[in-house]
This record gives sequence, C-alpha cells and structure tokens, in this order.
Amino acid sequence: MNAQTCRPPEMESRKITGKWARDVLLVARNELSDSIRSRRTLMLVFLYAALIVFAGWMMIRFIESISIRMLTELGISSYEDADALAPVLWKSAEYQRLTRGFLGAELQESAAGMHPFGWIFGVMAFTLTPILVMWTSAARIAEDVGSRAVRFVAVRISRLSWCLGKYAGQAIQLLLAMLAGGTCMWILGLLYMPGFAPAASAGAIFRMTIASWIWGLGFLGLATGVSQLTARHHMATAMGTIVLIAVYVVHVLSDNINRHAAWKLLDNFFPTGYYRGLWSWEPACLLPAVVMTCALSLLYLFAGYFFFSKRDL
Amino acid sequence: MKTALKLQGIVKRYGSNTALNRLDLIVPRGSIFGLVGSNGAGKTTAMSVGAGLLRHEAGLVSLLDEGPFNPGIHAGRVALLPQDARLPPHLRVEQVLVFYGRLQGIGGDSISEAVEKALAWTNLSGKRRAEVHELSHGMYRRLAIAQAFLGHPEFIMLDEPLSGLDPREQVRIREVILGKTQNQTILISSHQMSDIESLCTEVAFIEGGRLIRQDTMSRITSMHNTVSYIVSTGNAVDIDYFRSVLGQAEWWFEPRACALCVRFPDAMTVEEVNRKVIPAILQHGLELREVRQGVSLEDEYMKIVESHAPQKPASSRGF
Repeated sequence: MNAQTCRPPEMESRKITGKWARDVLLVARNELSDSIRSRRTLMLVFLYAALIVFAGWMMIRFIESISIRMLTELGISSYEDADALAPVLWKSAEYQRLTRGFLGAELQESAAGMHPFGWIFGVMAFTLTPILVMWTSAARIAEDVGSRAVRFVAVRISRLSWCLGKYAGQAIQLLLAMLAGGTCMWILGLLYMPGFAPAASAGAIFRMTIASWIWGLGFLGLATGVSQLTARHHMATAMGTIVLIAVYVVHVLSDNINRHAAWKLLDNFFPTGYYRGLWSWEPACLLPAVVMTCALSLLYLFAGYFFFSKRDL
Repeated sequence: MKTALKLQGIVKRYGSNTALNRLDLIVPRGSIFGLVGSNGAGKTTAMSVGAGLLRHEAGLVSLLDEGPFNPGIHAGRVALLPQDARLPPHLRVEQVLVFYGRLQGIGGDSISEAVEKALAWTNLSGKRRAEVHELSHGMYRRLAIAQAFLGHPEFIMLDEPLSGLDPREQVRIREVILGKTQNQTILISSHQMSDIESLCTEVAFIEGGRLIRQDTMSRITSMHNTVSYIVSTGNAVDIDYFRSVLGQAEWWFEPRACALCVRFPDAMTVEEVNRKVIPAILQHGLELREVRQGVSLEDEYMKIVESHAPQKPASSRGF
C-alpha cells in the first residue's frame, strides 16, 4: 500500500478541493490576462466608458441649465452655494421629469435619495452591460475550442474547472470595466460639475457599479453558457446577441405590451426579471434579486456545461 | 506488463466517416512509441481518444492502467502536444509556460526553475517577453513542445513534434526525447519514418483506423538477422549470384532504397555475413554506399501497407 492510499479520506477530499479551487483561480487569472490584451475587448470597454462619460456630460449640462434658472428664482448668488441649491434642484419638476423618463415611476422612488451621477451611471451601466458582456464574453470558450487551445489545458485539469475559471476571469474583467466606467464618470463630475459632492457621488456610483455588475453576471452566465455550445467564435457572438434580443423581447412583452402571467413567469427565468430588485434599497427586494440573478447565471453556465462536458474537443 | 496507454476495440466516427475501426493499441510503460500511418489513418484521433479529448462510440481506454482519462487521477501525469492547436495568442512566452506548468502541478519556486530550463533547451530564452502571436512558426512549435515536457509527466503524447523545425532544432528536440527518464513514456506520431526509426523503441502501423502491426523496432526492422547493402542507383543486381555466395540465406532487392537485403539463419553473425558478402558485392562491380543492419522502417511499412491495401476490383470491360 502506498502513502497515498494510507491518507485519510477527509484529507484526500480536502486535497482534491484545494486543487480544484487552485485550478479555477489559475484559469481565471490567465483568462483575465489574455482577455484584457485582446483588441476587441479593449475597444468595447473603451466605448462603454466613453458612453458613460458622455451620459455624465449630458447630465452636467442638464443640471447646469436648470440650476441657472433656479439661481435667479431663489436669489442665490453663485453655483458654489450648491448646498442650498441641491434640495430644491432634486425636487424641481424638470429634474423629476428627467428621472421619471429614464427610470419609470417605480424606480424613481429608489433613485430619489441618490446623487444624480449615481442613477445616471446606473441607467447607462444597466443598459450597456448586457451588450458589453455578450460581445466580449460569448466568444471566449468557443474561441478556445475552435482554435483547439483547450487541448493544452484539458489534459491537465477538469473541463468544469476550466469553464468556471473562464467565467470567473470574465466576471473580474467585467467588474474592472464597470469600475473604470464609474471612475471616469466620477472624475468628470469632480472636474466639471459645479458643487459636486465627491463622497455622496462616489457612494452612489459604487452602489450602482455593484448592482449593475451583479446584473451583468446574469448575462455573463448566458454568454458563457452559449459559448459552450459551438466551436465558432463568430457563431457564439451571434447566438449570444440573438439570445439577448429574445430576453429583452420577453421582458418588454411581460412589462409593457402584454401583462399576461405567462410572460411574467418566463421573464423570471432571465436577469431582466430582477432589474427592479437590483435598484431597490430595501433588503427584502434587493437580496432575492441578487440571489436569483447569481443563481440564474450559474444555471445558464451549467446548462452549457452539460453539453460541453460531453463534446469532442 | 505495465502500460501507458491501452486501447481495445476503439470505434470513433465523425458522422458517416469511421476514423477508428476497432483499433487495438498497447503502449508499454517506459517506451518511446512511434505511431505511423498515412494521412487520415487515425493517429491523431487515437491520441485524442487516449487523452480524453474525444468521446468514442465503443471500446475500452486505459491510461496509465487506471481507466479512461480522469482529471482527478491523471491530471499532472499526462501531457500532450496537439498537432494544430493554437496557444493563447496574447500571452507572453514565459506566461504560457508558467500557466501550463502550474496547471501541471509545479508549485512554489520550482516553476521559475522549470520555465528557465524549458526556455533554455528550446532556445527561446531571448523571446520570453514576446507575445505568442509574434513568434515565427519554428519558435511557436518549440514553445508548444516545451509545454509538453513541463513537470516531468509520466506519459507524453507528441503529435508530429518535429514538423516545421529547422534541422538544428530537430536535433535538439530529438536529444530531449531521447533524454527522457526511465519512468516516462513518449508516444510520437509522425510521417517522418527516419524520425520514428531513430527515436522509437516500439512502433505501430495504423491504416484505415485499424492496427496493422505493432512490435519492437528491432523486430520490425529485423535488426538481429538482416543486413541491407545500399548500392548506387542504376546498378543492376543479379540476385542469383548472391544466392551462390550465401546459399542458406534469403536474398531480395528493394528498388526504392536500392538495397540488396539478406536475411540469414540465426546460427550466423552479422560479421560473418559481411565478411562474405561485401567482397562479393565489390567483385560483382557494384558501388557500395552503405551497410545497414536490418531493413529500413519505411520499406517495412510500405510492404505491410501494400499487403493490406484493398484489392482493386477487376475491370469488367476488356479492351
């Protein structure tokens, strides 16, 4: 009997678990390092940040326009006296119209106490993240299967460790992209917004960064799930985009056009069903939304893995 | 007998095309094993099935005598040089080796040492900071070979390892393969018979997804009882003349290699045969270029393949 077979079973299982976790981390680190060097990813992240900065710039222009009018009405001498202006500004009809226009009546309440940079960042991040995810992540696994790069790895670790590592690497990349977008927006406000509240805006942007990252994880699960179904990366991106459109069609049908219960039920199987929950400040709404989005993300990932685990590499 | 890879009755189909047709193959532990076959014979598919990359329809696979590939058992003990696989294009050479080395199970400080060693013997030390997509074809192949040897795996599968390398690099890689440790097994698939002949201790011929012959290199090339005398092209060889020189032996001429071959009885030695035959060749007016013990692997392969080739149907129409 060799030393290995003499080892107690709990030690053996701890060793296997340790190796499994180590493999996932190694693949995730490598995935992040490889992915952020890809020109396509860099370009899409740059576009994402640019659009967020553009939205921030438009918000500054809008606040400026209504502030000038209010300054006159309130008899306040300058922008620098913003502490006095802010409560009036947030309650103004024009500002309320803007928030309602972007968020709708239900979410307007969640955004009521939030710095305007927080919710406008949230709107942009929640809108752009699914597209960013599908266009950067849906091809990642398919690409490695198509180029057969996966063969170098598949004889060294389990297919599951590899898929989870790819997913984790993409999740970290997504978080970095969102933090970059949020930071750009915050710097813009700091430089150009009169009476900018750095701490309050940073808190609001960070809160929405985390919320939209969790939202993005739901779509990342879809993207990596789809990516495991094909060996052609263009096909994977196309499939991801089609799935994304289908998800939004279901959401629109359930939310706006046809409030039929079946559409509502179907919408609950996609991250779009938890959009409002992720905006909420109420733990009773926020927590289930976070749990369900993460659970759905893993469900899509494992659904794809069910096919991937049996396929030829 | 301990085996590194055992395939029994493996069937693998791609749609209607049968790539492996009840293939049997035994790769003994500690050997350098050559897999020879024409294009589409099933060499790469056989390796991929062995490595657990491809699912098979029927048959049994045993890797290192512990069943089919299971990452829990075989991870870190097996390595593969796939034929057409692409390494991650945006990673640096050093990063690629560190990544695969760590996945292979090399931990802590040993990884730097292992990577340095691999960079040195593949002559890539100067390219450690280069990204994979910046490498030339030869450098790329060397990097792909280097990753297969990281962490001293017990079983290394090399699919066409020497293709695309310049002669100097081929010599270097051959030395690495021959310098394997005793408990390592190397499976090489190649079209280059000379590579297989110079490196391998065992060889298997595969055609049409089936094993045609498997044996030790010395038996296949009849090292113990055959001598080939390579003469200049254009020389006319009178076999009957040589039969009179060494009557008890079997004589034949291989026109492809211009080789006059003699298989002699076990009671004789190579030296005795040479003492009689070489003067006879010179006396006969033939220009002797080389004396080789055994027959060439290429000739043996061609003979076996031709004998297994499907018979052409007789033409139904006469002229």
